[in-house]
Amino acid sequence: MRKKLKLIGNLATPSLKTYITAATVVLLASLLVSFWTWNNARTSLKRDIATTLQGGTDGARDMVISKIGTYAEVLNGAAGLFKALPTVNQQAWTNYVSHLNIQNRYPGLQAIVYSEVVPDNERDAYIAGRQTDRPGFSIRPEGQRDVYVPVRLIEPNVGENAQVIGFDPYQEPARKKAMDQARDTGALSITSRLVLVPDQNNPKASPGFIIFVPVYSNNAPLDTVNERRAALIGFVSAGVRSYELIDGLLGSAITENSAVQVFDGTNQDAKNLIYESPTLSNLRKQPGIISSSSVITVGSNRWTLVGYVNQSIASKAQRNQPRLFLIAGILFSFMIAGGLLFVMITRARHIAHEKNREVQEAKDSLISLASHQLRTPATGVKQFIGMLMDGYAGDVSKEQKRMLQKAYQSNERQLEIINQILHVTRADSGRLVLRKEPVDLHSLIRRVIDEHAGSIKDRQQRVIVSKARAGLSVQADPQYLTMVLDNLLSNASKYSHPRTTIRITTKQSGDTITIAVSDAGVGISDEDMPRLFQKFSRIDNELSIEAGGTGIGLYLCEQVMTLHDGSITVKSTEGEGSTFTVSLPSK
Amino acid sequence: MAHILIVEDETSLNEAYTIILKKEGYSISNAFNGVQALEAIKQTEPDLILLDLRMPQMDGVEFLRNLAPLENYPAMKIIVFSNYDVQQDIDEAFKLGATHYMLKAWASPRELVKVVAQTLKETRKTRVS
Repeated sequence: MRKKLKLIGNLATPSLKTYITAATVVLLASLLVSFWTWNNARTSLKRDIATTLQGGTDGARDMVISKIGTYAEVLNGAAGLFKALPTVNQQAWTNYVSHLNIQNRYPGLQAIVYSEVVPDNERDAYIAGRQTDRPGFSIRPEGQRDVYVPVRLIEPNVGENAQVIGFDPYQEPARKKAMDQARDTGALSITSRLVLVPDQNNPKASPGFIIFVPVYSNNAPLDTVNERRAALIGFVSAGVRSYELIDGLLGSAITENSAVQVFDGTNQDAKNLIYESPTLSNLRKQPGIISSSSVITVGSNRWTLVGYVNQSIASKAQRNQPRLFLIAGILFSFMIAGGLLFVMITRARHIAHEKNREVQEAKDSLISLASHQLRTPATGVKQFIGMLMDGYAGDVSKEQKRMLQKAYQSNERQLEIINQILHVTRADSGRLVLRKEPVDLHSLIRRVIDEHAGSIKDRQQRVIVSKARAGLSVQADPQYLTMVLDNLLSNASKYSHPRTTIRITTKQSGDTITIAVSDAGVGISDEDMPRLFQKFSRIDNELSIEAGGTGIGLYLCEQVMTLHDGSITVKSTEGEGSTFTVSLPSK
Repeated sequence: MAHILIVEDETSLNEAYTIILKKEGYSISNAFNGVQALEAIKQTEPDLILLDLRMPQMDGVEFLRNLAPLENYPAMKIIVFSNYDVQQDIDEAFKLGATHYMLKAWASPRELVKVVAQTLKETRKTRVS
């Protein structure tokens, strides 16, 4: 991966940073959008849940108001008795109320009570009158007040209920307030939260309130507050146990995922609590609970209904939606950024590759052209100096010939260098192509020796060729093979002192042909060995300055031999000489 | 004695080859581009053509194209004699009927003489580098 990145880097370094930046920008933008969408979905979900909850709470509120209205109507119905009958006694009361079956049909509604107004100046007469039916009747609590509103009728009339008769609710402030309210408005009124005492059906005290409904004398005008006050004869009232009331109303709608609280007033304090679902304590332990409240106006009282719900109000699919958006968004972001980066890098690689190819081609044509242009004048020199040396313009003296030879050799070196540059460039770009054909090895060797005849004779050196057998043929590119042998012979001569011998030996073993060129020259030290075939490396020895060279000859030889599926090796002893062995398959 | 056509745009080289080959006794015609070469062939059919590849007006390959079909010149040999060793051009020349290739820069006067003599001795369809 790192190698790949390096390669990519090499091909497109300036752009790589740009591409990564671009891809990162796209990634960030896309992630941003994903988060925004996720957040939106979350908010939307929250809103939907809240709306649903509010709807539920409002619905519950309406139900409560309606129910209380119904209970008030029940009391109103009872009040109607006083319009219908000249007097209403306990028996009539019992008949009427028991028929209502409040126990079963009006959950939470307690005994229905009638209290009648007794001004202070009528008190004694009233008590005396009552005692004719009920010995021992008294108005409780004792004490003198401006007006008394003792209970006269109650149904059910059993057990402790009977004891309520004579009890004056008007002296209790909460009840008084509600009673005054009912009297003045002519409509129902409820007390604030009270604790209702246990009775035979309810062993425990529980919170609740009392509904009062006013009863007026028949045919009295009731248009103004004062008229109503003057016409008031009593109240029909009943306690309501709020837990039973609300349970009966909402109980079936409450599941383990929801809860309701009802508070008397607008302050959600524990002492104002008149109802709480049993599911609330569990619900409160869960995360993600939301609540919403609704205010109920009952009479002149206000209650606060608080609904609670957990996240399950939304279906699992709805709840998962935001998270799915987020995951999908993140995946998509990475995919798109990754894809973009991939496309850009591929394109860059492709372009760089194309460019590289163009550059290589341009380089190649340039090199070919340049070498051609450089060869042309050098060829001219070669011909004319050659002609002079060979006597085409007349005899030349020994001294003249010597000088001409020096010029010729110089020129040859130039041609050699041009060749090497051309071949090295081609070898490096992999464009060195061999044209193999059957080559008569010994003729080729002969030709190479002839080419160097002059300079070898000058150095008073000898070349001895030993052949394995006559007529050795090898499948090779004659031009390049010549170049290799030319280079080896040239080196052998250059790096040997005068009056030494160079041996060229050919051998065949099996399918492999070897050509060994050995000299008795300066040799190569062990430490110089590794650098021998490297490009541009020239070894320093006593003859290297005199010899000159480009340092690419042996490098090229190795390239050429490798292309021939062969090899080139060397054995050498410093100060004694070297043997370069070239081997290649005969076919 | 054989007749040789030298097709080479570089005047000094053209002159050099002429001197060298005349000394051997061959009769020589000279052309400095493909157009002149075609003219020269019309006048005297050569036994051997020394053909340079890169020339103005009409290069070596164009010349060969215009010369075709070479069946008309059964005995004629063509040595592509160039300093330009781009493989494609050389292959193209061979496809069009050239029989030999030699790098100019490689050939000393002696070499040139040897190669010409060798080539003239051959029958068509053999190749030597």
